[in-house]
Amino acid sequence: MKERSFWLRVGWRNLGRHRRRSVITALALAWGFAAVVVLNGIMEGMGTDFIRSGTDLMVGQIRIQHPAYEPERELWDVVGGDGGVPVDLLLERVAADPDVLAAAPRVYGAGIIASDSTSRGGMLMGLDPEREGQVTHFLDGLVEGTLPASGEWEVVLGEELARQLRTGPGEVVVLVAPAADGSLGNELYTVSGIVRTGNPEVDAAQVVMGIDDLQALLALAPGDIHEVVGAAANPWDAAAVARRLSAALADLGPEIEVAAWTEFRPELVDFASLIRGANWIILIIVFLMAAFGVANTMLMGTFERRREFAVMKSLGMRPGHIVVTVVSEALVLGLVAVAAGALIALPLVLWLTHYPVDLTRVAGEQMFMETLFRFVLRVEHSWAFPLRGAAALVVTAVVAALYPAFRAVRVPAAEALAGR
Amino acid sequence: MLDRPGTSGEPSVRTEDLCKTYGRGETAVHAVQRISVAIERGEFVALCGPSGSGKTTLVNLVGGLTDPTEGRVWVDGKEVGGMSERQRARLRLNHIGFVFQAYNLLPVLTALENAEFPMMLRGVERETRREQVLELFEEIGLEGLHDRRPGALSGGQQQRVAVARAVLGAPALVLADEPTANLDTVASDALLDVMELLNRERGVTFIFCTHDPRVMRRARRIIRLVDGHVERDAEKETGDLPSWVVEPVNS
Repeated sequence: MKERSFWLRVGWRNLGRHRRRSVITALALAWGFAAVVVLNGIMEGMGTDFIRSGTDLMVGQIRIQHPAYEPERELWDVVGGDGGVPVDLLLERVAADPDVLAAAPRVYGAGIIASDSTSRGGMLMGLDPEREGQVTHFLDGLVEGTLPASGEWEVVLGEELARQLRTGPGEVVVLVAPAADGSLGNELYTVSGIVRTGNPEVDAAQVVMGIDDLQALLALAPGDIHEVVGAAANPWDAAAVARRLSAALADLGPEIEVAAWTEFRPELVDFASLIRGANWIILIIVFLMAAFGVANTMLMGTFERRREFAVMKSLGMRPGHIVVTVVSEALVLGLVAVAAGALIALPLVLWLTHYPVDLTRVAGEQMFMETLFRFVLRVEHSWAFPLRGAAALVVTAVVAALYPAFRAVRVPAAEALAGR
Repeated sequence: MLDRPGTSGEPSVRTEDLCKTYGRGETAVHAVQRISVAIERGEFVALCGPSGSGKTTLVNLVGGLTDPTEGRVWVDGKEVGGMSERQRARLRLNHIGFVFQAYNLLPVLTALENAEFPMMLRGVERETRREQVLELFEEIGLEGLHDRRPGALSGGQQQRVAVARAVLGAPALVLADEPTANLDTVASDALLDVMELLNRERGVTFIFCTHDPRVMRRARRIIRLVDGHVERDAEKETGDLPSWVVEPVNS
């Protein structure tokens, strides 16, 4: 429509006629907008932290296995080994993807671990500590001793497992495990360290050692591995990275299956959806309140200006023009509210982005969905949500003004001019 | 400066058995009762009569601001009654100018914006309309006041802005409801001079609702309404004020 700036100017001036009322309404909208932006950022931050925590701790965000390995996890369903995929080449190819931060090989097994005084069942994991540290963080929880040195027959035990075995660094333990060739592997190991992951199940059963040592115990060839775990630069991109890797590794043979955390930890996807759903509910509630606030302000405004609308009609203003007059006012109100809301939200978002508030001391660490959850107020912000929120707020303001605009159109001109 | 209004063969305004009743039953008020008049183009007509005689209602019916209970009304040969709200808006925008007793300028607009408002609605280019407004402002003694909001203008100045708003864009008809009621003698005379000039030189039809003898003296036709009826309708010489105009009702 022509003269767009004229109508916006008129809208602005009309808002200025009841400055206090307009400021209160705009501030209410601005606070709502700021709250939505900050809350969304915190929820996104919590969601991402939860996903990271659920994947970075142990399982990784990308997993490469033999297609038959899951769910039985048979020892002989390996990737690599004689005639298989060269593991070094596999790791090289995975790490070459620009969205992969690092990759590490693993071997798994299960067995009995015995100390001088007792024995327990153990989940065995063979790994390359240096590579593993770039992909997952559970080894960061080393509370005592050192990481196992490959070829030295050293193990790191989960804290609870070590407590139950009444053993510790420097002590010797015996491991007995069924091997891939049907034999029963057994060996003496020195406990090099104790790890606390925070996951009770892991801490009560985990036995970590060098990948070569576990391959030897389980009678696997040096190149045999059960898994390559990868870390994606952005967890939300993991599915796309997995698809890309799947194509990139296809020529290495059919014994490779690439999966993202979204497939092997679907419950985390559900949780992320829950967070997003909660975000939408907050957004809808806030914007409904905004809509009522704007509608109320505009209704009062149109009621007070009945005579003016009658004059406009007598001057030949079409109903559509009257709607534009009222809606322009709401549009200006929405734009002012968005600007003010951005001024309120921006410092908070920047602060919580760069200086997250760690509430762990107050709330502690919680295990939830097999994931260690720490209460940290950290904002994960993108421009998309605030921009969408701003657009939604302005649209809400405009839509909320439609009923008052309709009322303005219906003002009976002769009666309003006569003051009736 | 302004285009001369069209001159088709039709009267500027024609009514036929026009009635307007407010309310129903015993409380019904018959504001206009069976009025049939024709006002030719270029006439300068005063509607007079006591308060409640139906002057404003008749003007509102002519302007399409309210619907008749019965009867018909034509403006420039177009029947107003059957028009949609949109068509009426177009009729008012292109053919009718309104001047109100209470000025009724839009308070958030400057004098210039108020005066150019109908032209803007018509889609006249900004430069053209500003040129026309400023030219007319100069003619009617509003030069230098174009940036003022209504609140910063005197009553006479506001009413002149209202007249400018009504006549700019050359409407065929101006309906003026008690335009001098809130003005002093000097301001009234100045305003009437402007209207008379526009009537004489540009052929704009003026219909006034008025109690003001100064307006009636200048009118060339006076229609006296009493209780919604036309009691008397007569042409006269400018400057005369017939005695029947000010006679009490039922005298």
